Amino acid sequence: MRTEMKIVLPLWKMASAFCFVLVLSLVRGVSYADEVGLALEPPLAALAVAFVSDTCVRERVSKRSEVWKLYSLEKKKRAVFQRMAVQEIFLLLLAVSGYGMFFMFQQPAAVYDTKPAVTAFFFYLLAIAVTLVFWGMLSLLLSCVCKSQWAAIGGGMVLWITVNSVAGDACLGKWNPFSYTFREIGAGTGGGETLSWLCGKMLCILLCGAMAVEFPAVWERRMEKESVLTEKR
Amino acid sequence: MSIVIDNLTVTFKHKVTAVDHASLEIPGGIFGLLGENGAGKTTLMRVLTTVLAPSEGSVSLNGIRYEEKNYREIQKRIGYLPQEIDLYPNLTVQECLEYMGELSGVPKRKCEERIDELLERTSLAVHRKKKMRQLSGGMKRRAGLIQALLHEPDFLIVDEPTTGLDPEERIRIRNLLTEFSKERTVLLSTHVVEDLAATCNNLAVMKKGRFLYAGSREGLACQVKGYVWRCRVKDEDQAARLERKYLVSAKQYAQSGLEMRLISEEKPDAVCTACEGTLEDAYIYVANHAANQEGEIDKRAEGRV
Repeated sequence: MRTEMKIVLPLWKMASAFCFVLVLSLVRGVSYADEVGLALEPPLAALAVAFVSDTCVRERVSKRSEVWKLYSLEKKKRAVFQRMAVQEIFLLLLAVSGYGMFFMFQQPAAVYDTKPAVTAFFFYLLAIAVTLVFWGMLSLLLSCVCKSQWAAIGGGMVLWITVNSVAGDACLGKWNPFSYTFREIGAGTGGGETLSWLCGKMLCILLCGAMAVEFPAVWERRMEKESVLTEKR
Repeated sequence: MSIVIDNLTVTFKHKVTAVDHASLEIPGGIFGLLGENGAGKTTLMRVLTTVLAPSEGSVSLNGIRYEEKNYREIQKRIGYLPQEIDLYPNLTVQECLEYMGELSGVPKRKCEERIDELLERTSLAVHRKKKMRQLSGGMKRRAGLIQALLHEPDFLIVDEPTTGLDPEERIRIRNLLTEFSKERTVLLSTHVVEDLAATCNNLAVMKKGRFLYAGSREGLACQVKGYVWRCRVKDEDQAARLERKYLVSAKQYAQSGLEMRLISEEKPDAVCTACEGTLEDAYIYVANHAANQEGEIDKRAEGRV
C-alpha cells in the first residue's frame, strides 16, 4: 500500500486538494454548525471526480500500459482497487479536516440543543464517506469506459450539476446522491433533522456495489483489448 | 526458443496497413529489426507482445499460437521494453522494480534476489535508492531492461533502446543486451545500423510493413558487395549531379576536397575507386532497391513503361 500511495498521491496532488478545502472553508460562508456538512459535500464530490479520474488511465499516459498488458488481469485489478482505496482514504481524511477548518475559521453558531455535536459529525462522516466513494467510483468507471481522464471529469461534472440543482432535488428527492445536502434541517421531531437522506446514500452504496462488480469486465473490455483497433479480415 | 511469423498483416481502421503480409522466423540470440521510422517495426512488436491482434496471418512462440486463449501463457514468456516508458517517477529504483516484479507475479524473495543480481549486472546497484525521476536517460533504459527481465522471460522484446543516448551509454546497453541474449531470444528494433552491427548475427530489414531482407548480417553486407564507390568530387555542381544519379551513403569535406561514398551497381560517372561496403551501405541499397523496383512495377501497371 505504501508504494501505491507514492504512485497515486504525489505531493502536488495532495497539496492542491488541501488548498481547495482550505479556500472553501475560508470563502464559503456558514452561520450555523449544521450547515458545514452541507457546504462541504458537493464540492468534495467534485474533488473526488477530478482526484480519482487518472487512476485507470495513469498507465496509458505514462506509456506503461504495454508493459502492464503482460501482467495478469487479477494483479492489475488489485493494483487499481488498492490505488482507489488509498485515494479515498486520503479524501476522507481531508473531508474530516475540512469540517474542522470550517469550525476554526468561521466559528459557526451551535444548534445542538436537541442533538449532540458528535452525532452531527457522525452523520456527516457517514454521508461524506458514501459520497466520496460513489463519485470516485463513477469517475474511475467513466475514465475506463472513455479511456480518458478528461471525459471522466466532464461526464462526472455533468451528472454533478444535474443532481446538485433545484431540478435534481425536485426530481430525485430523498433518493438524490446529494440527499444529505438537500436534507431539511430542523424538520424532524423535536426540531431535529429527519433521516430520510439515508435513502439517497443507500442508493449510492448500491450503485457503488454495481460499479465495483462491473468494473473488472469494463476494464477487460476497454483497457485490455487493443485489438479493436485492428481490422479482422 | 523460436518465433514464427507467417503472412502477418495488421490493418488499422481507416485502411492503414502497418504490416503487410510479412513472414519471418526469429531464431535464438539477438535478432535485429531494422527500418526507417514508420516502417512497421513497433506495430510488429506490439503484435508480438499481444497488445495488438493481427488482421491476417499467424504468429507462434515456440509452437504456441497467438490466440486469445493462449495469450496468458505467451505473456508470461515475454519481457518488453517499449521505446518510451515513464517508470514511476516518485518511486525509488528498488521500489519501482519490486512493484513491477510483484505485478509480474514473481514471488517476493525471488524478486528481491533477481533485482539485486540485475542491478549489479547493469551497474545500477549504487543508484537503487534514487528516485526514478532522478535517473539519466541511459539509467532509465537500464532500469527498464531490468523490469523486462525480472520474471526471466524466454523472449525479450526491446524497441529502440539506444535512441537519444550518448555513445558510452549506447555501448553499455548493447553489451547488456548481448549478455542477456545468452539464455533467450532478444528482438532488438532500431533504426541505428551501428547497434545491429555490434550485436546481432541475424536481422531483418523492414520498409512499408514488408520485410525487404531477412537473414544473416554477413548476408546483408554481401548484397552491396562491389557496389560501393569512393569518389573525389571537383565541385558542388558535380556533387549535386552525382546525388541526383546515385545513392549517397556519405559525403565528407576532406583536406583534398569533397569526398562522396556512392552506391551503384555500375561504376559511377566520376573519378572513383571501389571500396568495401558497410552494413549501413547495404541497408540503404536494400531499402532503395526495393523502392525502385516497386516504382518500376507501378509504372508498368500504369502502362507508362
